[in-house]
Amino acid sequence: MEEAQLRVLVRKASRGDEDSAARLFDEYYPRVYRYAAARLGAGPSAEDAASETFAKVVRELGRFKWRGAGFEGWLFRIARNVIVDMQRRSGREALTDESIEPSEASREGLPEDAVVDVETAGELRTLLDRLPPEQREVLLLRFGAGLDTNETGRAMDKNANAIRQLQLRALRNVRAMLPEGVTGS
Amino acid sequence: MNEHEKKRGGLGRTPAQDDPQAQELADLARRLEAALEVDVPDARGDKALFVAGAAARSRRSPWSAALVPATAAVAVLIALAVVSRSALPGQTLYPVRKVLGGVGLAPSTAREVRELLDDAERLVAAAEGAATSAPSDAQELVLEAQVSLKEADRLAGELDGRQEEAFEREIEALEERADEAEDVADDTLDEREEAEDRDEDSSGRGPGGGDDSSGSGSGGDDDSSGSGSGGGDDDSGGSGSGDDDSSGPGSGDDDSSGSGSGGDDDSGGSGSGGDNSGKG
Repeated sequence: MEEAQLRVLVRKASRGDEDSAARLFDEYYPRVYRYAAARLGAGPSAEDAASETFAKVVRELGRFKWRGAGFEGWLFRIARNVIVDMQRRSGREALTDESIEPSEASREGLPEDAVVDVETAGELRTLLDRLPPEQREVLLLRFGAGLDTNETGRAMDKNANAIRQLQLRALRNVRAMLPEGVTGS
Repeated sequence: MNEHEKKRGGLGRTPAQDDPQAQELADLARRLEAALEVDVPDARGDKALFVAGAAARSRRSPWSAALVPATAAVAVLIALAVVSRSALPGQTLYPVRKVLGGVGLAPSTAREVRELLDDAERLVAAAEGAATSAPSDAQELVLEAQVSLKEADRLAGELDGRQEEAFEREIEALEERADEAEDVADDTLDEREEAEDRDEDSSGRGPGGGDDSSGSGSGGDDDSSGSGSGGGDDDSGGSGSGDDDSSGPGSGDDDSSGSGSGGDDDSGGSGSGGDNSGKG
């Protein structure tokens, strides 16, 4: 969605326009759910996370000011916080925020034991947990939530070029964790 | 091609097809995308709550949204009312005062006239009471009342005919009372001046009596010097000469009473002196 169009939608929804609120929900609920599912796994947890995220959004919508990261940044920050809270409540470790920092072009700083066998989609998803937070975030937003480069940029408060670079490094790191030949399947 | 693939952006297209490394990353992106692909559940309940929540905001927003401008407007009105309170015709804020007065936010002209007349009435009444006992004070009170009446008269001119007429009658009545009080005060003061003059004359004639053929020349001389202030009090046991006489006129409004009082204290000695000087 174009930013100008989104601004109008958000403004109307914040003033109580039901149609605009419904459109906003239709536009972003699937993305928030996929994003939550990418981090929590599809199912009730992701549904709860999406549901709680939109409950917070409607409560805070009147105070939302369009600055910096814009609506997507605000929305996904809320979603991230909800997910982290849920993970804490359920006793799970927060995902690898302290894990890996890339440094070299070849393996981008990944440890030797980062190379794993990947046979299922679930296993591929778990690889994301081994990425540095920003790299994981860009892949979750791009391929999980389905945001385009510009939307991801707004969600992460970065420009589109920075997002492309971040995405490239993230994919290289994922590839580096895979055994030879797996990616080409 | 699903929605994700459309949004995937650069990775499926930007790497050159003959670059195996780029191709490999594009394949990885597609696999990743497929791994993260999930069916989105039906969220009609959440949607209904979201829409209802947004609509509820609009129901209370008019009040909260209007609160700030309303507060600002009230503050401006209060400031204008204060600033324009004393604006006079021809001044910039006078129309503001008229408008605010019309809606009860500033004192109306009629109310101001009423207040001025009440003030003037109190002043005139006080002047009437003081006209004989404290005529100078009465004159000042009359002056203040006249200022209030003049202002009331000017403001009454802005009112409609019937109101103006009623106020004018009241103003005239008060002016008449003020004039009368002033006259009484003036008369009282005149009388007092005349009495003082008479006293001065009578006491003046005392020393003039210095050339009295009665031969009490020394008494006459002393008399002129001692005529200042009722020295009679100090003259007890006075010699009964012209010295004692001096106390008389100094204290009294009139010569005879002055000499009388002097006489009281002077055990008769001064009394005779007074008489003597008066005659002299």
